[in-house]
Amino acid sequence: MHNVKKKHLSAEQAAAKRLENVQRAASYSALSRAAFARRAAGLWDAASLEAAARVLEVNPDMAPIWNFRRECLQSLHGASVPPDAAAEPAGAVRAACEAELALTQACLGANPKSYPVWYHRTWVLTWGGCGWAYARELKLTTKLLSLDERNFHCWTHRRFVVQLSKVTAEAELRFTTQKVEANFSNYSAWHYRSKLLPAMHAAADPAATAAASGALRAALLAELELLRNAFFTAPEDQSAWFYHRWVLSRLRPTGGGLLRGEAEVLRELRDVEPDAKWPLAALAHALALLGEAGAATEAEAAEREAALTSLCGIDPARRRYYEASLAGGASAEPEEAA
Amino acid sequence: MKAVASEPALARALHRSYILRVSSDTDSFEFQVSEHLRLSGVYWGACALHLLGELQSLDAAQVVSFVRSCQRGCGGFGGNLGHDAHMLYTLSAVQVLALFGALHTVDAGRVMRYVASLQRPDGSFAGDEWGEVDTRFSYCALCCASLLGKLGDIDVAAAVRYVRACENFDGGYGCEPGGESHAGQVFTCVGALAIGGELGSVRSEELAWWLCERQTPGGGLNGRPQKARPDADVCYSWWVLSAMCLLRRDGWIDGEALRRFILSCQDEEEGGIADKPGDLPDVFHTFFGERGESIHGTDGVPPIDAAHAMPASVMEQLRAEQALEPSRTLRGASPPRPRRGRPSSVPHRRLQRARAAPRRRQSS
Repeated sequence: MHNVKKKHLSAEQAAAKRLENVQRAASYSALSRAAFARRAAGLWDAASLEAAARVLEVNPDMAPIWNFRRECLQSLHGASVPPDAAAEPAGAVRAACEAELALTQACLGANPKSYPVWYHRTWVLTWGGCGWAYARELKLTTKLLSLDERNFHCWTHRRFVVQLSKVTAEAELRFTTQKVEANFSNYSAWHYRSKLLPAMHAAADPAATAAASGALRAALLAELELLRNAFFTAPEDQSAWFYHRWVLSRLRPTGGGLLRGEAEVLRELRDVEPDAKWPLAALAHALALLGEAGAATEAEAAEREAALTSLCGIDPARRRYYEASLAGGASAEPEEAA
Repeated sequence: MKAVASEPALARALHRSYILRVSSDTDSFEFQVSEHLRLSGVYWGACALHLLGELQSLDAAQVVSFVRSCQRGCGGFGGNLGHDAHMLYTLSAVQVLALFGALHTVDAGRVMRYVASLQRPDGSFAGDEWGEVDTRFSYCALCCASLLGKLGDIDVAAAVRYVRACENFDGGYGCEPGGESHAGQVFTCVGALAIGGELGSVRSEELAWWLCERQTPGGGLNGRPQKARPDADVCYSWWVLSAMCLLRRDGWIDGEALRRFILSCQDEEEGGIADKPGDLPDVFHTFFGERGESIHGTDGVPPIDAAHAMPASVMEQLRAEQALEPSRTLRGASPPRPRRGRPSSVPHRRLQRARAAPRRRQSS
């Protein structure tokens, strides 16, 4: 149970609530028993689809009943559907798939995070060869992600539809750009970019490796620009800072130039808000990378230590992480003797 | 029975009676509508009682008989009587049987044939015959195999390879390659890698940093970066902390602040622990709250094996039995248990650390 407030009730209210609760239980239980009875009797027909739907409307997580539905669909239309049957707009298969998409959509309205519901939708799209539904499906995920931009089930479903319908990585990158520009704390969108960018710039043939890595590098440098907007808009939002650490590590800076430029931006941010944690943490990390590249001056090494020491005070809950970083590499805690 | 001292403490007696009460309230809507996951419910409740030292409150013979009645012809277990076999409930069944020292009552080879039948060529596992793939099921398979002492019955190397393919930019893991990291999934993947003897492949520093950033100003933990505020939830106490324990960096959060958050989610009138302060409790969060306490060795909750999500004492007993009498769980056809790397050596080490850790504030 999540986010259900406990209410203090009078004895009378509690009794009334209990009665209602027990009645709901009995009515659900009757629906569930009816569906199982039809399954036990080997009735894989339209009436069973109805009986299953009644259970799932109350309890969308009821995986065995989704299994029963799939058995019914396969019994009525075939274990896998021939492509021409699925393409027929007025055909029975298309109608069956539409019914599944409508039912799962209704269930998602009640519980947008139900694993079995999302999986059933995935299964239907594959089983029914629902090419006609892909564009609509993509739109649906866009809509649902505008209602809850962090629903990872919906992002997963979107990637599935993107793959089926051959939407380009470029188009998806544009989608994530809209998402992060609308809200820099959309961590799901930053995550997706971390998958899309390397995929877009992967070398198709080995001879093109250098060109591809050059293109990726240019794209990552552009990400640093985007991140600067995020930092100056919402410096306390951790999403962009996690992504920043990844972008810097992917750039694998060797000389000091890039990192010094980055450190300068971070100092500027820090000076605006001296007690803000994230600019300071990112500065310490950039300076650590400078050290790893063998390019840090003594002053820069000292600045890193000073930043980490400040962080111990600013962010005491994570003090031991900063201390481990100070001690040289945030490695595991020493083992204690048993 | 409120705590007398001003210091908050785990309301042990209330939680015990809460678990027993809701487990027998079969007329309630909440009980009926959770029919599909009954076996997992039994695991949460029994494990929570075990951590309170109250497992004997349950009728062991009755529980074991119920678990066994959920086994299907294929060897896997359904979530309830007559429900279809699934990886999730197969693991719960094995965990409950292990809790009651009753693993010998099932044919381990038969259970493992079901588990192995769900492994796919890329090393991933499906949840059941319908083919949903998720790293949760990789964890279920590896944990099941490890508890049964039969890691050799699945392709551990391929399983580990798949889990590693789900690694993300932040060092965390998703449900499938490309899926976003969240704390629950990080637990299943790090747990799977620990059991598979491949913990060394985790980008530990980055991941532990990401995990310690799950602690919110109120002391509680959330599951992903700033999903919403306030979004700390008791169940993440376990997901986040167990992964940090396995990476041996659980000191990177403020344990006392977390403990206070968990205790603030207790229902001090009727028992049980809720997801957030002021919400209705449930058995799931009661268990996860206790487990959070267990990892920090506070409130007298005994140590837990972070990889297998089982009380450490049960795991020690199990390993001792398997070492002495391998045929007991191997049932006749007994090839020696292959040792790939050092499966489960890390969790075991962690247990010893947990025991050595000072017990803070034992409800004085």
